[in-house]
This record gives sequence, structure tokens and C-alpha cells, in this order.
Amino acid sequence: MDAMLATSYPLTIEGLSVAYEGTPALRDVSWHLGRGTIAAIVGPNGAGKSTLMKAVLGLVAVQSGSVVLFGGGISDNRDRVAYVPQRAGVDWEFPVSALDVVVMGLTRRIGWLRRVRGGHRAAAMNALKAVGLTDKADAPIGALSGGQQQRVFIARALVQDADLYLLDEPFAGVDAATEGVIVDVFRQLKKQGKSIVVIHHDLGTVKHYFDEVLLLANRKVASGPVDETFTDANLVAAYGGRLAVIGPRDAQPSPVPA
Amino acid sequence: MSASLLDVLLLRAGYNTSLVLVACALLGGAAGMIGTFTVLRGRALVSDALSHAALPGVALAFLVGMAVFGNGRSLPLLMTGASLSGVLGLAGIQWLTRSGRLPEDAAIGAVLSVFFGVGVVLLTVVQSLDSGDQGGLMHFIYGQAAALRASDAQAIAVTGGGAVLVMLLLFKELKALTFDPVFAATLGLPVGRLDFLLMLLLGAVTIVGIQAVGILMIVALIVIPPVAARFWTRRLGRMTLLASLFGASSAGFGAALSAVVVGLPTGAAIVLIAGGVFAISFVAAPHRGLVARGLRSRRVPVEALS
Repeated sequence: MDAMLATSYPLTIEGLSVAYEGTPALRDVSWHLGRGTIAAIVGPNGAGKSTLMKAVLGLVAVQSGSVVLFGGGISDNRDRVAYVPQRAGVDWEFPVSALDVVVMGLTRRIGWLRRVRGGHRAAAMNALKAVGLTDKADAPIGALSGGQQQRVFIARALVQDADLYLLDEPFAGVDAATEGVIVDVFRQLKKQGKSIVVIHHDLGTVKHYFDEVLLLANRKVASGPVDETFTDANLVAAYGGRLAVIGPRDAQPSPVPA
Repeated sequence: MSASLLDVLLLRAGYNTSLVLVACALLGGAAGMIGTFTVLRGRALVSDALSHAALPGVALAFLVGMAVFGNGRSLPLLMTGASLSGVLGLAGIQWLTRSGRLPEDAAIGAVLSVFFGVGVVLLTVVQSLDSGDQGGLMHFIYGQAAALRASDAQAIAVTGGGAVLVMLLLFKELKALTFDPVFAATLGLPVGRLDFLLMLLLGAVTIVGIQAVGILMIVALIVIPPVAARFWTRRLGRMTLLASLFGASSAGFGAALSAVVVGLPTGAAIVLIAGGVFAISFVAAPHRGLVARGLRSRRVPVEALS
């Protein structure tokens, strides 16, 4: 790959391998993502999708290969990368309001020994507005529905004002309204030239929501524009005999409010 | 003891008693605050393990002091011994969990009881030495704030106050770490170091507090105030503040009570008061208290309850 081109990509992965206690989770994955692209990572359970995302974020040790973000390492680009982890990973009984959680996205920007001020809270309110939750700003997160909690997480990423967004299963277990809001947010971000990577399970909506797809099964099965890549042959290669269990692949997406 | 409880509480019972009271209140405030973060982080029992594992270190340090200086009751020496054996105990728990593949609660149970047993045996040895001032060592088990020297109380006050200051300065970071450590790491916060700092503060408050509150009951001062505070609020800032107030008042009243009632160990007095605060919170707190929930569920149709 051309070196100049590589620096202009938000994300370039070369020959990435990751192993957990000797068991390989990812083998020799190479992939790159252009500006203003919405990409899905698709593959069966245990295919290494979350591992790939965590390797990009520097959360797991890389065995071999490289991850380049905007031409640099993750530690130089923390403020350009926003992450939305799986909702199940936190304690939703934690004593904070929706606005508190969104403000946490600004922790680093506010800086050490500095207090949260009105301007920070206003930025967080703006992010909550983008996901349609202004009226829930003061609600304890435990009182929100699953879909609303997911939207709070999206708002926490939005307030970071990043250039690359990584989301781990944002559509898992959310209502149709939330799914519509999230897709809308993606399209807004794309318009601003931002790039989005989403770990996605609903094969029926891939063609409607995404520009590109990366099919993973511990190694890369295929990657590229959805129309060319999201084919029956590639899906069979990724999922093997398990494909039948996954369900229909051309279901209608949930209606997106205009 | 001639002073009344009121005299003690109003700091009119002499310099030393007043100093002890203030020190205990500061310790309780710090314990409630650090307890809020550790309980929410799921590490509440670390304090219990640490305090129990500290006992052999206290006894050994006393023996070393006797052998080297002819006097074992030196606070820096005892605290060093307590810290060393406490850390050894925590390392043992970690080793058993990782290498022995034991569940953490089982590892904590095994290590804290073995260390405590060793500590009691060593204390028996110390008791048989007839050095004159080993009596103070037994206070480490149940706590005896009245037996604190001025220098001990100052050390407690400085540690407690320092811990509170550090937590206030890093409140925003500790909040992000406690709620979602993985996300905090992606922000670029040094989560490993912040977690270590939290453990360090917990360790310092625990170790410095065992002389006053006692090994058996220091965990109550870490755990009960935040758990009681949780009933009153759904915001971390307020929970932290309330937990500090509950901890400070429990520890202050408890120390005063044990100064007035002859033979009442401070740890027991503190835990009784903290337990009372918890019981009131559990029953009477708005929204989350037993009464409020009971009233609410009456308004819900019966079929919705099943």
C-alpha cells in the first residue's frame, strides 16, 4: 500500500494477530477504512470482532502486525477516536444521571484538577439532544430503558467530537426508535466526513445501513463495499453451516424517522 | 473516666481526647469516601483482607522493636509491619486467584483467616514476653481509640485528611474509572495507575485506622457508610458526601462513646452507630427505603408484583 495513502486513512490494519493465553483470536488480518465511511464488522460469535476493536483501541496486546490511526499510534490519537462499548459491560445501577455519563466523555479534555463547568454540561446536553434524550438528562441511568441507555452511550461518544467512531454492537437489544436514532446519527457523522466502524449482528440490515463490510472468522474472509462483499458465498465462508440459524438476510430495516 | 459524653463531643475533655475524636472523625470521613469508590468498584472485601493480613506484621514488628530498640510500641515500625504483611496477604490472594484458579472470595477467606490465625499466635508470644507495654497490641484487634497517643492521632488525621484531599482533586477521574474502566482507558486515562492509587488510599486508611477501630471492624467503616448513603441518593457526588458524613459521625460518636464507657472497644461502638445509620437508611430513605418502596408497591396492581 502507498505510504502517503496509508497516513490519510483513519484506520489501517496490517497483518494483525492477537491471541488470548495461547489461543489465537485473530490471525493475519489486514484492512483499511476510508474517510466518511460507515463500515460493519460481521462474523459468527467468537470470530474476533470485539478483539479487533480492542486491538485498535490498544486495550489488548497485539501479537504481531500493526494498527495505524491517522498515520500514527493510538496514544497520539486518543482524542480523535471514540468508543462505544457493549452496554452489558457496566453496572446500570451506578449512581449517575444520563448527563453525568455523557460528561464523562469529556474527562480527558477538561483536564486534571479541573472541574466540570457549564460549558462542558452544555456540550453534553447538545450530544443528548442529538440522540433525542434531552428530557432524560437528569434521570438516573438505572431508570432508563435499554435503548435509552444505549443512546446515552452514543451521546458520550458524540461529545468526544472524534473523527473515528468504534461501536461494539450498538443495535443489540434496542427498540426500533433507538435503532432509527442511531442510524440517523451515523448518517450525520458521515456527512461531516467522520468514519464509523460497527460490530453488527443483524445480517438483514447490513445492506441498508453500511457502505463497507469486513467479514471476520478469526481471519479476514472478505472486505470491501457492501454490494460486492456481502455475498452468499462470503457469508457461507464466514459462518459455515451456522448461517441458517442467523435468520433472513434481506429483512426490512426498522423505519428511520425523518 | 470522669468526663461526660457531651464534654467529649464538645472537645472539652482535654487535648488528647479531643485530638483522638477529631482524628477518628477524619478517618471515618476518609473511609466513607474511599469506601464509596471501592464498594462501587466491587472491591469492598479488599479492606477486610488487608486488615486481617496486617496482624502478623504488627506482632512481628513489635518483636523486632523489642529485640533492636528494647521497645516495640513505635507507630512507624508497627505500621510498616502491618503494611508489609497486608501487602503480602493481598499478593497471596492474587496468586491464589490467578495461579490456583480459586474464586476471589474463597481466596480472600483462606488468606485472611490464616494470616489472622498466625497473628493471634504471634500476639500470644508477645504477651508472654512481659515487656510492660505490649498490652496496647491487643487494641489492634478490637480497636481502642482512647489508647492512642497524640502522635498516633496526628498520623491518623494527616492520612485521613490527605486521602480525602486526593480523592476530591481526582473526583472526576475516579468517577469515570469506577463507572466504566474500559471506556476510561480509551479516553487515555491511566486506569492502571488510578486503580493502584485507589488501592493505596484504601490500604493507607485501613492500616492507619486499625489501631483505633480494630482489625475486625475497620471493614465496617469502609463498607457501611457508602451502602447506607446509596439509599438516599442516585448521584455519585451526593453519595460520596453522605458516606463521608456517615463515616465521620459514626467514627466520631463511636470514639466519644468508647472514651466514656469504660472497657467499650472503639470498633464495636463505631460499628453499632454505623449499623444504626444503615438500618435507618434501609427503612426510612425516600424512594429506595423499605417504607417508600412498600408504599409504592401498594399503588401497583397486584398482578404486576408477581
